[in-house]
Amino acid sequence: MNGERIAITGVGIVSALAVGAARTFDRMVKGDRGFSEISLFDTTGQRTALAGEVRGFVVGEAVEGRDPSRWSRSDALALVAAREALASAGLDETPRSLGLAVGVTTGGMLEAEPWLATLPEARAALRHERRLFSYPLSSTVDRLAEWFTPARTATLCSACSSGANAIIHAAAWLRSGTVERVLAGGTDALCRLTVTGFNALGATDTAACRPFDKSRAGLTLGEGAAFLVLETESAARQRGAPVLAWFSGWSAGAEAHHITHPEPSARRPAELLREAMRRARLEPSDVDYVNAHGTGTLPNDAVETAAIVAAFGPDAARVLVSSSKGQIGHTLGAAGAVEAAITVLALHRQIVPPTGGLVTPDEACRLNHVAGRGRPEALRAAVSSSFGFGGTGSVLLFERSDAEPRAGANGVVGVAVTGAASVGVRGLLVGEDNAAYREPATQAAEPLEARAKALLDPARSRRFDAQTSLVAAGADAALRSAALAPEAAGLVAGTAFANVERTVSFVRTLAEKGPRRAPPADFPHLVPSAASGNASIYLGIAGPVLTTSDRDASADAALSIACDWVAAGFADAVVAGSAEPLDGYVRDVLGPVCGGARSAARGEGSSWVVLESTDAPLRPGMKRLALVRERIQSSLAELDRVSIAKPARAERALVLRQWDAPQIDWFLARSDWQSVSRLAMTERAGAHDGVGGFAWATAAALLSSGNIDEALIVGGNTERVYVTRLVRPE
Amino acid sequence: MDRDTLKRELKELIVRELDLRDRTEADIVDDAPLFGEGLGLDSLDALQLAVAVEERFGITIPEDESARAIFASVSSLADHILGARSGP
Repeated sequence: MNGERIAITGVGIVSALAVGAARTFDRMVKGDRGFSEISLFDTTGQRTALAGEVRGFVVGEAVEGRDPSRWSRSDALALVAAREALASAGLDETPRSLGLAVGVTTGGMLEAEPWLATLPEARAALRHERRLFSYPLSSTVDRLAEWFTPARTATLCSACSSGANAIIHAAAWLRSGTVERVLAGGTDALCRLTVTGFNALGATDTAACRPFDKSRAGLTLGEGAAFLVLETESAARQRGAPVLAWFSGWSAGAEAHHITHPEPSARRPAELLREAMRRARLEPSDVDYVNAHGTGTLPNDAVETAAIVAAFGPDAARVLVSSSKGQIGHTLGAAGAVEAAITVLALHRQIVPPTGGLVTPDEACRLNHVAGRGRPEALRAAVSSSFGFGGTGSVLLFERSDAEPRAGANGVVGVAVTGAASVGVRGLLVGEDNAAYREPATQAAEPLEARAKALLDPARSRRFDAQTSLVAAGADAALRSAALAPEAAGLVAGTAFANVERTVSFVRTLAEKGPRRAPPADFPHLVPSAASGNASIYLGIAGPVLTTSDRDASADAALSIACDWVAAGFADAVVAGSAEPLDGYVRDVLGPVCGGARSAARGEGSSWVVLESTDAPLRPGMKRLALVRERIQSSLAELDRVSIAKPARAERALVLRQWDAPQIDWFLARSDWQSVSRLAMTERAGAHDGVGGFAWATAAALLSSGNIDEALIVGGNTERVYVTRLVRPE
Repeated sequence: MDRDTLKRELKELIVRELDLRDRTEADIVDDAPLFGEGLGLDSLDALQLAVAVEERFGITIPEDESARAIFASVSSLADHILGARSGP
């Protein structure tokens, strides 16, 4: 769609104020606040139990007769918001050429907490539990995919900016013409883990939060979900769909400062605000409203104010500002999407919603606040900001539906592999040395955690678990092999289950000793985005930092998202892959329940490649190892429709595949690659959810060293398959 | 428990709880500032240490500004624990 505008044609919201976007917005405008004592679980001993709970929401009712044991509350909240978004866009529930992008952080944690607390004793009993299906972060995408049958799916996690990044990901798909429309949003249910964690950090206000107020004392958690329908302008026009707003600009990046504290100068958030305006080809004087992240914590609101002042200059005194969190709470992974939907409605209705709880603005938060009730205003363009743990920020910019089109955006670019590194059974391998994985190998004697930690500076890697250490060490080596400075790169990390051992330990402490004994510093190290967030700080990554999850295909999912963002020009360079350390609970319980049919003993590994635009000029020491030619994601059911270009010379080509799935055998047997020799990567790099990363590193190394001319990487899980064709440069 | 034993135990607790893998108890000086410069500890470490000290010694550390003085050094932390245990 090179340069075509992106239309928002539908929104759906479930919040503490209401089930429904219009009802939520109406109550916001009235100044209502949705806080109450949590009723979902026991909160005895918690510093505060006040939160924005969606009262009266019942999973079994929301899923309308489907097996409710497979749906978490987060999944069900998402379903209701997504259905509303499609209906408001005038679409049926299975529109053609649909992408589904979901931002999420807590996922099925609420339902998982009781069994996680007993996991050490109940390994065997839990191996047949259907409720474990809702545990992986990718479960929301899996459940919604059953309902809406999308052509493409992606799970995005970046703590509190997850929902915003799902919407940016939608733009990447639309820009590249991958799909015509995307259902993008975020969801997160309240759970014991996040309530305990934020309380332990002292980040919560014991009264209802008061963003930007002089007396503010922390955030109030919330739950909810929101989805937007984004369409190419031509797709929307073709079916005569009314446009609610245009999605004109966006930015995503990291500040590489601290896992829980914003960097005081506000340099990076200000840059992100400017970048979103630049992408939209707008000036600060064109923007009338900022829906701020505005959590209500002392540091966030002051730093965010500084960012708005720095980015808007003289217009900072004029632009209207409010935070929705004073009315619905901080909905974490959903927040970026919920607040984007509210920003779209503000533009559509020409009303600015207020900041709940704001009475006397703080001296450190001098902005043009809207407090009390909503205010009718002529709004041309509006910004929604999100900043998360680890300093990952995203900014979205929307314009009113009658905005004039401006000069078109850039088209998509080619993607090259410019670096590779792995920490696996063969130790640390860099660049072309990864060709060694062409030969079968046995499992390394030494656990990889020790190997990774030996590569890191101990003073700067405190509290790093095995996964974080493997991400930091692997991504560092890959960036070095590409001669690329970390501040010029983004990071996309796949993980099937994040750190289960640490999560079990935290949940057990909570169950046995109460919330006051929960270790505060462990919390930001066990959220699903912890490994990528901590590694980004360690390395000094300034580009987008994302975590994704797709069970057995988690590395493939990370590489797919990274390619999408580089191809669309949303990141100049991205180091992408995954790290899967040995985790006894994954090996014994979650892997067998949630994974595919896999027989090999579970291994571990960390593998990374650097992806860059083919337009990027060659730096000293940089070499293009391989070029990405075709990338396909397909559900297993639709694999028969997939076709891949024939290899020019079968004897100079190679297939690198993961599990022995019969569908993949069948797919290859009827493709033009049937006679090409195949490598089973699990026999070389171990059986784990990150084996797809080894396939990429190995293929890139073999292509670069001239061993082969073309490689086909085939990965997947029980739901979907990722197929990528790499070719030799030149 | 005497003051010296307590201080030694606190240093072990700090190294373990705050994952100071490149340090030992001997690197922590009794009266040196714990946070900011020196060991490079931050407010997240202070929260973690407070929970660990409360659990290990059965005392309560206030959430207000007075916590800053208590956590100034190993010595001040030891004094607070001894005072809280012998207190009313």
